[in-house]
Amino acid sequence: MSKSRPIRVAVIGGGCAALTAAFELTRPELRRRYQVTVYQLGWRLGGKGASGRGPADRIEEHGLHLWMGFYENAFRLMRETYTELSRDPKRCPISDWRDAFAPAPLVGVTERSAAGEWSIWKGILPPTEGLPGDPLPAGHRWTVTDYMARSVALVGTLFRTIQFSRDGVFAASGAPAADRGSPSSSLVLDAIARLLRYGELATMAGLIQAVSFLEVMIGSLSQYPENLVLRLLDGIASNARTVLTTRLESEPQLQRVWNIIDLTLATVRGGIRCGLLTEPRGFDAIDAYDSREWLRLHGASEEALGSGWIRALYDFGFSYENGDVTRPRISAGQALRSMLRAFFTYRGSFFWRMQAGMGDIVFSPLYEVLKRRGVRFEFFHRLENVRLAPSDRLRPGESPYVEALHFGVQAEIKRGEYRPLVDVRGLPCWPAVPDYRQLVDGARFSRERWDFESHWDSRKVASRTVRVGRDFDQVILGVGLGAVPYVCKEIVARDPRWRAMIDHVQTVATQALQLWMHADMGELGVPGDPMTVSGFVEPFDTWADMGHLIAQESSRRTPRALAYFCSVLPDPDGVDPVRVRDYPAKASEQVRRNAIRFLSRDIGLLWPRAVRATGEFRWDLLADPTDSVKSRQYAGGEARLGSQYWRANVNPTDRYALSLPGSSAYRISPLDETYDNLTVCGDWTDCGFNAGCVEAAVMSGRLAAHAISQSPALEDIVGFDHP
Amino acid sequence: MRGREAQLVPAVLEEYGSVVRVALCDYLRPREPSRHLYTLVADYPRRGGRMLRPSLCIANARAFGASLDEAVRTAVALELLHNAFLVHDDVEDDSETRRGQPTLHALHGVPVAVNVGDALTLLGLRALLDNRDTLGPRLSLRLMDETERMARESLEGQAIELGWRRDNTLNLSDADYLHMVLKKTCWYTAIYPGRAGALIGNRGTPPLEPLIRFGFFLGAAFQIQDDLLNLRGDPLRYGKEIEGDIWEGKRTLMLIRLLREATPDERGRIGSFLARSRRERRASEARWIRARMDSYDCLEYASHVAHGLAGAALHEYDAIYAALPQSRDKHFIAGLIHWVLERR
Amino acid sequence: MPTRIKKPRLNRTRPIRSWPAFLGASATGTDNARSGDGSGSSRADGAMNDVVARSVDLGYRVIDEYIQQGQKAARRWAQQSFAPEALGDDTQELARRMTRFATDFGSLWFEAWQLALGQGPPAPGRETDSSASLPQPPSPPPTGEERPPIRLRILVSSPYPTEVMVDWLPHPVARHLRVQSLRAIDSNRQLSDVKLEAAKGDEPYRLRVRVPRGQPAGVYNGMIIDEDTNRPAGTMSLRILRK
Repeated sequence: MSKSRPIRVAVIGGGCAALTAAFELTRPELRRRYQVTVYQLGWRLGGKGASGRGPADRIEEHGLHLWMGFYENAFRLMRETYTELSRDPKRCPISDWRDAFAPAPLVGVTERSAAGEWSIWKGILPPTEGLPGDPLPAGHRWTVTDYMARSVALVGTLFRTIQFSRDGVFAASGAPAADRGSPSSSLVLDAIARLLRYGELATMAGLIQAVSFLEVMIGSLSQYPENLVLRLLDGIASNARTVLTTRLESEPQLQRVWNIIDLTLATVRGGIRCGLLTEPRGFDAIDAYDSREWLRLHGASEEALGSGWIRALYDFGFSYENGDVTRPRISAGQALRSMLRAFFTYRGSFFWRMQAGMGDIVFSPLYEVLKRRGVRFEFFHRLENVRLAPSDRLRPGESPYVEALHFGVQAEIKRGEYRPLVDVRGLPCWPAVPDYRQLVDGARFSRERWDFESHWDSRKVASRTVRVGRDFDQVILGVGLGAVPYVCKEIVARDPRWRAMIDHVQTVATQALQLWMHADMGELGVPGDPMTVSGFVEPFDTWADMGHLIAQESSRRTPRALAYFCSVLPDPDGVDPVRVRDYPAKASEQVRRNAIRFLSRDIGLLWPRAVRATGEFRWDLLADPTDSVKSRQYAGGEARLGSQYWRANVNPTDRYALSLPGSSAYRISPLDETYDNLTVCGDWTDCGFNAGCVEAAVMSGRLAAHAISQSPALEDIVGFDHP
Repeated sequence: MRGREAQLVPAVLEEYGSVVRVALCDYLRPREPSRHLYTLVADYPRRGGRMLRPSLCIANARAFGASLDEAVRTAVALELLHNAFLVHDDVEDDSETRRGQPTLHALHGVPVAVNVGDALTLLGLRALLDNRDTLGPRLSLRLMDETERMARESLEGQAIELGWRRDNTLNLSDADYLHMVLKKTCWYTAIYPGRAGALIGNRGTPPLEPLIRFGFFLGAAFQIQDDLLNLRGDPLRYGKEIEGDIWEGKRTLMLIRLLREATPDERGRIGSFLARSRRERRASEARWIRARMDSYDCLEYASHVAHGLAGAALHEYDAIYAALPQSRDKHFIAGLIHWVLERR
Repeated sequence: MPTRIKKPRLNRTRPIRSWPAFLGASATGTDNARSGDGSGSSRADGAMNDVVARSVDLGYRVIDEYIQQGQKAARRWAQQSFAPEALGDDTQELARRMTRFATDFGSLWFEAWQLALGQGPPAPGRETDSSASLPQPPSPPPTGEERPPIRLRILVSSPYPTEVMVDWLPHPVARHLRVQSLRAIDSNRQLSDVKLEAAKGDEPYRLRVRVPRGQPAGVYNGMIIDEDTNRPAGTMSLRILRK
């Protein structure tokens, strides 16, 4: 077998994970060892992250995609892509990665008072050194001990902040003096015994000192008896509550700080009691618990558990079993992992925003770079089945393998390869509908309204089978988990682990709403910098001010505000949506009704001046992108909603994978070696960071590349080796 | 996987060692003056040795794509320079035996030994110059640069260590020790063989900085283990006298920890021992120091540090070598990480 | 039937979720990184695990600081050019270090110098015909003062392909030059039929070499001495190619 023939890799899917795998396998260092072909249904790449440009070039997203400052792998990918792309800044408005991503440090958490009043607690998380995707310092290690120590330090800082707010003096940390290294354990033990015995914990100063001791003890936990540490923790928690309760009446905003302290102490207590600091499985050891349940078990108060922080945690992860907002469930292990990474390891800014649609920012550059590197793209190819070689044909000791891939060809291209991008004021973008002119008999698709991206529209013009050995050597499966039961029927039937995975790793549908408005946020009653808010009512519990995108669009009468909303979308009761004819249209109608209700009933709580005195939403605020001063395509009132954009993400492959308690063990890893020519990737796989987000998808793509080429090294996948 | 790699190490050392020994002969041919120079020049190299450094150099060169022939001369140069350092080291430490026999200066006096050391250095240089024919002038000059740096680092490290002994410094930290070991031992034991090998293989664009890190961790683990063997090794297989380091007052990690953990009285007693010259030191004191090291777990401590550093070496190994094609040399280098801790 | 291309066997398929547990396990020689419950059976074990973790951190601190120092120094040096003219002090130093040693090694330091000055090696494998044949003497590196270059005509009589190379010290001023008999480096073989005839007026020096039949192949070196001061003025290297 000639060594020089490149290994052909069929990548199915064009989302973050699949394209990352393609990017890794075609790195110049690998010297064209792999010939990659990407098979994508419909006309655009991106998967759950695909976006299009609709009327007036408005950006139409699947939902809200916020990047976080700890997405080291994802940012590294983007930075390398933009560098390799070398766009000319004179011709393209977004040529450098820092044009593409901007810090968004303002975070809002909603709180509901006992009287039922909503308020938004705004916070700016301070910028940190460095930028995401920068090389990490050598020898950098993530340890539970380190996180616990930083959590304890956070509590200490909060205590001192509280004391400062009253006394005007920011106390020193009060740590015992030490000449070299940590103080000896006997010194610390003596001091703690004194604190506990003489009731000094009942004072703020005592609390601050106790916390600093706790920090020391966490650092070398093995030297201290565990129950002493826990006793100190308990002492701090109960005494802090007492000390603060007296002040809470006069300073209600202290409640928010107290909630954080409460949750943090419960986390540290739980970490110690569960032995997480030395646990070889890291946070996976508590995967079976729900996050609220685990915190409650370790002393968190109900008040803190109902606070906006915890609600936001569940909202950001769409963590509602079956999409039912009365059943919030998220794995305590993964929640802890996500929270600690998000708060303690973000670089630059806590959140980062894309400065155009995700398709424009992420997938056009990736597409261009991959094309330059020789990757082939087959658009309009919908995977129908992954066929395994029959088990009786396997030789002894041979692993099962993929024999063929069956595709439905949705459309044929008139000439050469399909050119998917359109130019919007210098920026290459994906259109909201395919370019019918490039398709054979293209007008027919438009006339008959073929929905290439819909699972319910299975029309095609041809079938195509590619075979192992003849057309491909390796397969990377990058479709969404929701699609797996339909396109991998054979594997699921034969392999009990795949069966268990689709049974236990649940997916949910999501809904999204985008509103353009004629008044800016200040006029609507929300002054200040643009923010992202979560923890609000259902549906549409998360809102992001996306005004920065207006400049990218081309409405004749420029809107002054742009808001994105999203939340989970429950499946219809007792029915498999796939069996419901016309389900997409029905779901879309459901989302429209949700939007009407939301705007009629709840939006006033967020945007006080967007509603009239009667509480009715000012529908005329909605900006129609095709609106000129003269034309009125949409009537007034509710009907004006028709000019906006909303979406029900119900396609199986678009469903969002949850991190339910106990489900992590059922995920299959890209490094799994059961099939010797099949590798999975996606944020639903066991990729080390088992949560639905861009970072997990990119990590899984890198793992998939490693499985095939042993590059990148596992140690280079930031956050893979992590508790 | 790890077990297999560890078995690979002695086999590769043997193989590359023989190749280097044969090539070494070209530089050790008898000439005049023989009795006081050239015969003695051949003495230390002929006493045998593990050939760890030249093997590592060749393995790196091959792992990065060069052939054995392209790497041999540099490996020979390294072995010659290593022997030159040993000769001078033995003089500076006032050691009595080396590889089971009396040291060169014990046999022939210090002036002759110094001269022999110089001659070995020059021969090493000769071998590097001979690289011009096989590697071209630019690469050979680059290697000479590298060698000069390595030699300079070793001298500076030795100077630091000698300074501690001369000034009877008692107040040292682990970081001080690691910094000295980095310069004195790691450069020529592990960093230089890596970098020189990578330069030869890659023809000038290898990951030189990560190789410093990798070489540092590997060399430091090696040196600490060496120091441990000095205190508890098998005298027949270990090349120097057992507990010789205590006699020499060498600032090993164990001694540094002992000085840190000891009571003020004990420190004073150790300080007096170290302040005396070697001849004046008494066996009973040396035995007492050794026993105190046990009471304070100094050896176990150092062993754990060595394991930690070996773990870090493993990590750095992956960063450098993972992308290279699989080869026996890659496995050998990985196996070395464990071998440096497990050897006797 | 051609064999299918399969995925490679991987060394590791699981993340390392706890470094202390992982490193501790490898220290005791177990293969599986996830051995035991890792809860630290005794306080002593726990303390030692801390040592391991801390030593790694310490090691990284030391090496990172060291490398940063090196980078600072390198940046300072970055201005330095390595053109022969700029090398001045360093080569003097190199030469000074080497002149401490016996003259037997004298040729060595000249060659090192030559390398350092970027004048390249003697080109191997080129055949010359046995009557005269003359590589140009390398021009001496530019110095601050004008000195007339030494011109040399080399006459070689040899039954084998032979190469001759002459290198001058940077400031050759001598009028009375003598060449030693040439010797092979690694043996006692000599080539004594070598003569340097003085220049008269504008005439170049004449270097006559005769290689007798049966002379073993190899490289022979000798020094060119200034008779007035008895100091080296250059080296001569002769290579006999035969195999």
